[in-house]
Amino acid sequence: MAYASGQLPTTDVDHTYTTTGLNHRKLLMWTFLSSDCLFFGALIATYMVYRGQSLVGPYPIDIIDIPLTTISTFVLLCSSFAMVQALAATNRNDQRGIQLWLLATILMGATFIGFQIYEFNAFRMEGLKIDTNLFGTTFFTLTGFHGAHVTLGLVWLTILLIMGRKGKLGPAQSLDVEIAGLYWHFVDIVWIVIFTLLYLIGGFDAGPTAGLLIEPSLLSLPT
Amino acid sequence: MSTHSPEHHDSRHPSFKQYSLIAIALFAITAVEFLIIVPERFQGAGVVLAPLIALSALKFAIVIMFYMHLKFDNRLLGGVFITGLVLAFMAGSAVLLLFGSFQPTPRDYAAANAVAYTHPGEGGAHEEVEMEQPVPGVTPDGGTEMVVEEPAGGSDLVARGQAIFTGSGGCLACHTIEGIASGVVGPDLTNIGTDGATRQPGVSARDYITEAIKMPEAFVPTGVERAIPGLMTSALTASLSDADVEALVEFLLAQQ
Repeated sequence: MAYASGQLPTTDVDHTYTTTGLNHRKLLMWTFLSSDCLFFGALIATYMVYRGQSLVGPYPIDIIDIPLTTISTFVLLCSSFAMVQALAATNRNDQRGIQLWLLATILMGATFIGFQIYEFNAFRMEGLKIDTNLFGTTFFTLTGFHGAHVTLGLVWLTILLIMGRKGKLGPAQSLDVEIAGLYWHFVDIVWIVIFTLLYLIGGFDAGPTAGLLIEPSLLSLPT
Repeated sequence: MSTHSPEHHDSRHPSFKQYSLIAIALFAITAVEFLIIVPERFQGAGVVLAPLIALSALKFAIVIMFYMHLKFDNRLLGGVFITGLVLAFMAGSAVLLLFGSFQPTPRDYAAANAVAYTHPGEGGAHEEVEMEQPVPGVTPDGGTEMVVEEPAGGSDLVARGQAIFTGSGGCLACHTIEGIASGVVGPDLTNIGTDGATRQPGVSARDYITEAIKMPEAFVPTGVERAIPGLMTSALTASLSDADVEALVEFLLAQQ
């Protein structure tokens, strides 16, 4: 078996002694998510600093498609619901439920990525690439890293689904599913922030915004 | 849900029905957010900023409390996460403050006060002092006073052209002229005074440069690095007066 979880002391999570009384893997995941807040915080702050400072188009208002992204946001929210159901099915040893809900989560996550690929491609056709302007650079960096997180989550969930199909997921592996779920929900909440700031609020930004600081020397990069 | 699980806190997890209600609440909030920005007068308006941020914060809180069970789990886990979240928020706010994103500065003022970026490593390791020197011809209040310091350039017009290039015109954001500017978005203009004559058959360097400033869309040369059609538009240069363009042309012709 590729996944070594069977050898890990997951069956007696509540009896393993730790100084905090908490399972180390779960604490590790929360600590990682905490640090990931800083990672995305830096990318979001960078986007906000350069908002309205692109000197050439396309600008957000020219290409951002809010209705389309609202649909993909719904899909990602739905996948989080499926994820909590997968964990609940694991806890009650509902083998059919485990596979069904995990598959649903994966399919919806993949749909979200499909929307993102479509969007990136549409932007490229409209003339926005990562090196076109500050909007392109900050937008693709932020949403691209989010997409990478979703993709990693899909790989993780697929591994769990394979385990589930082999009948190797049950109440004893509850923590395995829960930790994957924590990661998945985190990716969802990061998108909640991105959707609000980049689409609902920033999606109507036009060219260089009067009244925002512009420092041309900052735009010149050392070659 | 079931109570057969070894997870002792499982019984405190929400039931299927409760999870469904949470999901519906999240959908409803997203739908409200979308509906808020449907009326055109609210699109990009400042008044919707607070409600939109509040609603997304609410969704954020619902997901971490219920889907990620922070409400039911050990407080240490929540503490660890909130610490990172608060740090990220404070660091992000600090960056926005640092870059003056909350204190609007008129674009022209900032552009006129911009200093030319000198490439580090060309003249020595410590060039900070040099970078802070004001550009000749640009006074801190944004005016373009005639300060001729360029022995090679000579005329007032060239100095004025340079002041526009590095100041109010903002040209330096995209173009490189060795020793003066190092933008990497558009073509290198270090030798444009001589190159200009070869770009378009039968067109002098002066006419070529004038057109390239006034109507950049009209002709884009092939075989010039970073000469991308549509990247520079006449909208970018519309604010330049004919006198400004004349000064810029003189300055660029002097780049040989």
